[in-house]
Amino acid sequence: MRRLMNPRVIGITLGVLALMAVSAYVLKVPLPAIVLPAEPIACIGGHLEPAEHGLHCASGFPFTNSMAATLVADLTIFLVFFFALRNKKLIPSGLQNAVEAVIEWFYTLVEDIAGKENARTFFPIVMTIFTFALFANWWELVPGMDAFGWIVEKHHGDGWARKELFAGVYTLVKEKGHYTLVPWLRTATTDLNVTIAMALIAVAYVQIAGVRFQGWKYFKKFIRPGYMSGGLMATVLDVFVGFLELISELARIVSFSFRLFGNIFAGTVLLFVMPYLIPLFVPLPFYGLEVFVGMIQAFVFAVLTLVFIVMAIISHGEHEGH
Amino acid sequence: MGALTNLGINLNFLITQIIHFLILMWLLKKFVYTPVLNLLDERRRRIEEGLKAAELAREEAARQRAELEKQLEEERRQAQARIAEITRQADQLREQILAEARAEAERIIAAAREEAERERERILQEARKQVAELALVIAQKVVGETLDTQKQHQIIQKFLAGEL
Repeated sequence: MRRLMNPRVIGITLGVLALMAVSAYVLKVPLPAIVLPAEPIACIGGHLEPAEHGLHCASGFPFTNSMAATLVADLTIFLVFFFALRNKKLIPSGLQNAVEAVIEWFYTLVEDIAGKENARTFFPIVMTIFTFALFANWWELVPGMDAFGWIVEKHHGDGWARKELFAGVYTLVKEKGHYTLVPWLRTATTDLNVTIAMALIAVAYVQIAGVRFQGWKYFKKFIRPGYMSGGLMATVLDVFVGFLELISELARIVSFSFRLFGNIFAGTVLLFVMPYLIPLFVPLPFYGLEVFVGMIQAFVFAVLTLVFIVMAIISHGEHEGH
Repeated sequence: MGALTNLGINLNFLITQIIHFLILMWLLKKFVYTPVLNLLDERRRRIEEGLKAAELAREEAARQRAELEKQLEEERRQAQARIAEITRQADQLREQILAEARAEAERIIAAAREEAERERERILQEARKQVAELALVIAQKVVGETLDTQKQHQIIQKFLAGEL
């Protein structure tokens, strides 16, 4: 408590509160536009053009705000690991200790679920999913994360008016107009491309692990082995069960990607709306909630991947034989 | 495809993100997981070694301590035995000296007694002789005659022999 009460902390707190009050009551910032797809903020090898909503890049490769956030997440991952492991010591301290604790905790988890002999093989994908998802998710919590960007003119629909703050720097104000903001950064995991990419890699890895550990026998779960022997009904049933297995693999992609996307997108919207409605103090518990959600979603994605891998490498035939 | 576009799903973006994730995984594996896990293994090994060495040292120390205690016990036992032996010898010596002294004393006493006896005999003899002579003198005076010397001696001899 005494550490919280020193003049510097009080000064910073008051400063932040003043900034919040100014931004909420003086600038009258409008509710940000909630856009489902990621928006291009640059056009590699072409020109950005204004489109119906925001910007459009038809002539080159679009560089979206979620890609920018992906790189920002990568940068934070790099910085954390760089400073943690800059001069590794056998007797760790500080950040090295924290990073090692998380890695060791996860490694033990992988060992417990997948077995000691497979832990090294499966650890990288599980840990990378957790690390990337965690850092990407937690970027949602950084105030001002998606507050900066291009202010573009909308051709259709309602927008907000803009006001010049100083030389060429504009802000949107809470008046009717036809401008909108395309933020430079958008929490990476609120872009379905990111979560689907992760889900595809996870599910593909599950199939690869299954084949690596069981050989072609792995595919027997899709084409049931006994489907010619047990009469017509059994054959129909086996084909149907195999089909269900196939569907369940595909469903995993959807559930993986939409679970992460949905949770973090909802969190982002929550953190848009709460400060907009009641700017002071009230958003704090929601920030706490989102810290938790961001971590839990990253953890769930990683551990489910691990569980699916373990389910795939265990032979079904052996189990039925027992 | 319209629904996918509305959700923002785009094949190019998807491929970009897949490549990004694979690169990230490769980099993390190469620069983070492998070194850190090796470091953890190394540390575990070192700690195990350290614990084992400490255990060995403790056992060694306990062993030496037991040995020392045994030696100490042995020495204490020897010292006690020696003390007992010396005490015993001293006692013996004392007894011996006492016995000798007692014997010497007895011998001296006996000698003294003998001497005294002899002296007494001698004095008694002397006294008897004088008494006899005195008696003769008295008798001469009483009788009024002088006995010859030879007769005197005979009488004294008789007296001394207890015949008178």
